[in-house]
Formats: sequence, C-alpha cells, structure tokens
Amino acid sequence: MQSEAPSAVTSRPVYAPIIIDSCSDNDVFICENLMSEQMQSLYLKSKCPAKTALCITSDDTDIAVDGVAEKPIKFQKISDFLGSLPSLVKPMTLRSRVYLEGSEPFMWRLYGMFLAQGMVAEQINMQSPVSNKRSLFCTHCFSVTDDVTTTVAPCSGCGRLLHVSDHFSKRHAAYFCYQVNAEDPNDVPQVQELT
Amino acid sequence: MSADKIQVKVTRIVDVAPKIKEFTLVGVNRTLPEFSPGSHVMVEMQGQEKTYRNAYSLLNDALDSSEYRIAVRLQDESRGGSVYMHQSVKEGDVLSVTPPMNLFAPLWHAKKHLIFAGGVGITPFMSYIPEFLRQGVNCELHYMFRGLQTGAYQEVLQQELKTTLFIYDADKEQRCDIKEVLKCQPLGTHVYICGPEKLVEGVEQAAIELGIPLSVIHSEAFAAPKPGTPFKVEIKSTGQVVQVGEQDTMLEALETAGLAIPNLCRAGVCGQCSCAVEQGDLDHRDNYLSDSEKSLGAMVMPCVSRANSERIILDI
Ligand code: FES
Repeated sequence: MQSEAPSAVTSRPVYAPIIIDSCSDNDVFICENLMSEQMQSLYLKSKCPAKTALCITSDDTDIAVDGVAEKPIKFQKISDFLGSLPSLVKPMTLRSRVYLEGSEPFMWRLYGMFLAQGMVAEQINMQSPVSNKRSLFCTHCFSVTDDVTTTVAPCSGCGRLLHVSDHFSKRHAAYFCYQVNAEDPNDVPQVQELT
Repeated sequence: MSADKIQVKVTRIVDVAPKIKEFTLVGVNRTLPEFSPGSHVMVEMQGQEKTYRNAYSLLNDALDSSEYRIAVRLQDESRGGSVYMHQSVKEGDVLSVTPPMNLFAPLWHAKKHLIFAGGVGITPFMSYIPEFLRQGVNCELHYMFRGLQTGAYQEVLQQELKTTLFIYDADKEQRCDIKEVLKCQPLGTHVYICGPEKLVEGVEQAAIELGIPLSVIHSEAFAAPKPGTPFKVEIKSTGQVVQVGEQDTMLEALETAGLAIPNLCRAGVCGQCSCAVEQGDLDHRDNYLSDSEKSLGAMVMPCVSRANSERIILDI
C-alpha cells in the first residue's frame, strides 16, 4: 500500500474575499440555509437597482434576516430553485452578478446552472465554503457521493474504497476519486479528516 | 509561407466601396480547401521589389468553397500590399494563397452574437452571418464606416439581418453609442469586434466601465504591420546581420535573408513566429504576448514588432 497519494494533482478552488461590484445592474445572493452575517453585510453594501436574496434550505427554519429589507425567497430544494431559474435570469445582463454562500458542492452546482444560462465565471462570486464537506466523483462508476469529510471514503455507487484527491471538477462540482486498494482489497488504509 | 501554397486565379474584381475592391479567386487545376466562418487566407503578391504577404478574411458562406472571395481596402499607410492588389492585380492573374486558417471563429455556444465592425473590418463577419441565420441564433450588427471610403455590403447585410443591422456613416455624422448598445445585453451574449484599434479599445473600455467581463469580448485588430525606423537584427548562431528597412517587417527582412521563420497570421495574433531575443530594446506591437512577457523582453513577434534600439540580437 502506498502511504502517499500516487497523484499530487491539486486544482482546489481558491476563494478570494468578495468585493461587491458597483457596476452591476442586478445582484442575486443565494445561500444554502441561513444567510450569514458576512453575506448580509454584502447584501446591504450592494446598491444595485435590482437585488434578490434567496435561501435554499431543506428544513423549516425561518429564514427572516434583520436588516435585509425584503425577506429572502425560500426554496426547499435545489431542484425547486432550478424551476424558477429561467425567470430569475431573464432580466439579468452581461453586467449582473451572483453571490453564493454554502458548502462547496452547493455553490459549484449553482455555478454550473448559471453557466448553462449564459453567465460567465467572472460574474459568479463565491464565499469560502461554510463546511469541509466534499462531493466525490468516482472515476470507476461515475457516481457522485455527497457530504464526505474523510479520505478514504466508500463510493455510494460501487462501494469501492476511494482516495479523495484535491483535483476538483467544476463541471461535476466534485473531487475526482479512485480506488485506494485496487491491488489488495484487504488493505484498508487509515481514514483521515479532510481539511 | 509555412503552409503549402495554393495557386489561385483571379476571376472577378469588383468595386464594393470607394476604397474597397472585392476579388474572386478559384483554384488553378484543383478544388479549394473548405473553411470555417471567420477564416482568412494569406495572399502572396510578387511585387517588383519584394514579395507582399497580407491576410484577408474569406467573405463567402463557408458552405461554398468552390471559390474564395476577399475584400481589400486601399490602405492610406500601405506598405505596398493593398496598393499592389488595387493597381497591379488584374482579372486572369494567378496569385498564391495559403490554405484557410481560422484565428477568429465565433463562440458557437453563445446565445446571442453582438458584432461591432469598423470599415473593412466587416469582412470576417460576412462568413459568420449566413451560419448564424441557419442556426437561428440571435445576431446584432453595428456597422461603422466612412461612406466616402468604405461601407461595403450594406444591401446584402440589410437583407440578411433586417432589423438587427445598425449602420453608422461617419461621413453623415452618424455615431454609434457603444456604451448604450452594451448596457442591456442579455446573459450569454458574446461580443466581436473587427476594425481599427480605436474601435477595439473603445468597446473594451466601455465594457470595463459597465462591469462586463472581458472574457465575452473577442477582437481581431486587422491593422496591417506599420512601418517604422530602420534597424539591424543580428542572428546569434551565425553572426549574420539583417537590415530591416522602414517599410519592411522584421519577418519579411529575415525571410529575404533566407531565414525560414514559421508563421501563420503575420499580424501578431497567433504566436507562431515567436523568436528568442538575446539583447535589444523592443517595440512590441503584437496581441499575443502578455504585458509581463513584453516587459521581460525575452521574446518578440517579428511579423509586427520592431526595435527601439539600432540593433537587436535574436537567439535563433
Ligand atoms: S505570425 Fe502570427 S504572431 Fe507572427
């Protein structure tokens, strides 16, 4: 068993501090669950003529936020939000901006949805992820396993024990993973917390 | 030329604007290679004193490559190529062209194409538009020119684009408010510019002021290499010294001296002609090197760039 990862490919996204773009004509703020104080202050800083706050949360938490003038619009699931996306982006232009907050897989899934609507990367801003949860892309069965915080971790599709690489796929919003013990399935390496 | 040359016969020359002539070219004893929208060919012209090589966009619908059509504007500051095409080339003459190359293809995934064309800068878009129409994708053209000199193809563009063609003739005091046009463009729009450097800079500046990402702005500055002060190039490996005249490009001078430098666009865009520099103060005029590479001074694009010093040494 190799103690080191055979590939040291690193393509982890880097999250720079967000600065509100004062030229924008339409700002959309989307949070996974509750809006953090940091995001609230960004929302308040935006002087954009059209701005919208959205929260996507899977429970019944009240999402009302002090100081944010209008109550954010709440969606129970990303799939509900997807249905309303075309009407949300219809008035947006090349000048508009999106601000995202949440876990890394959440933000990059939304990133992919906005790209499909014609937005370009420079229009999409992301906060540092709120958790170390990763989604894994299994290079053997192509399944995506969500909410993983350790390497190694079992694939939800094929059950193989996966090494979690730092090679992030923007398209899949997940990290590429490969079987850690392909030579000897009895070789079960130590589980480590991901950072 | 680096790519294999094709012999073509000039079958038709027509005036399409006061200073623009259109040339129709057919293959001599061969069919012409197919091309994609936005392609150009390099035309080689055997002048009396030197060989001219100029890049011209292909105007025809890319579905029909039975002939190539190019348009040549008589340049005010011509180094000779456009004067040669206008005054010396006659119907029936044979010229050499490279196979088509494409350094300015449209972004096919765009939801809308917004075009700014200045003068003869309309040419690369002539092959875009039929394909956009076939695909049913939204296309808007803002065409700026001086009607006393340029402004070719207005009728055909009018038929093709109808209400999405906007014409501005500076000789009739018509101006395009670029910022106003850019202001409300929907998501998924890609912007293309071809024309004088001032137009390219104007659109880019307006985009910056509006907060439009520059990754959606694409340009082809068609400006031919400009003349400049003569200088000498020393070849490090052989000690050979090549004189670059006021009207020559460094690339032409090197070629005349028997040095084969790979090249494609001869317009400072593709990076093919890149040469390592051992020493010398450079006047970078290309759009290929980054600003930091330019200030480093280790590379030069001899197809357009020149020297500020009297002598430079190339490590080739
Ligand atoms: S030939 Fe293309 S940059 Fe010089």
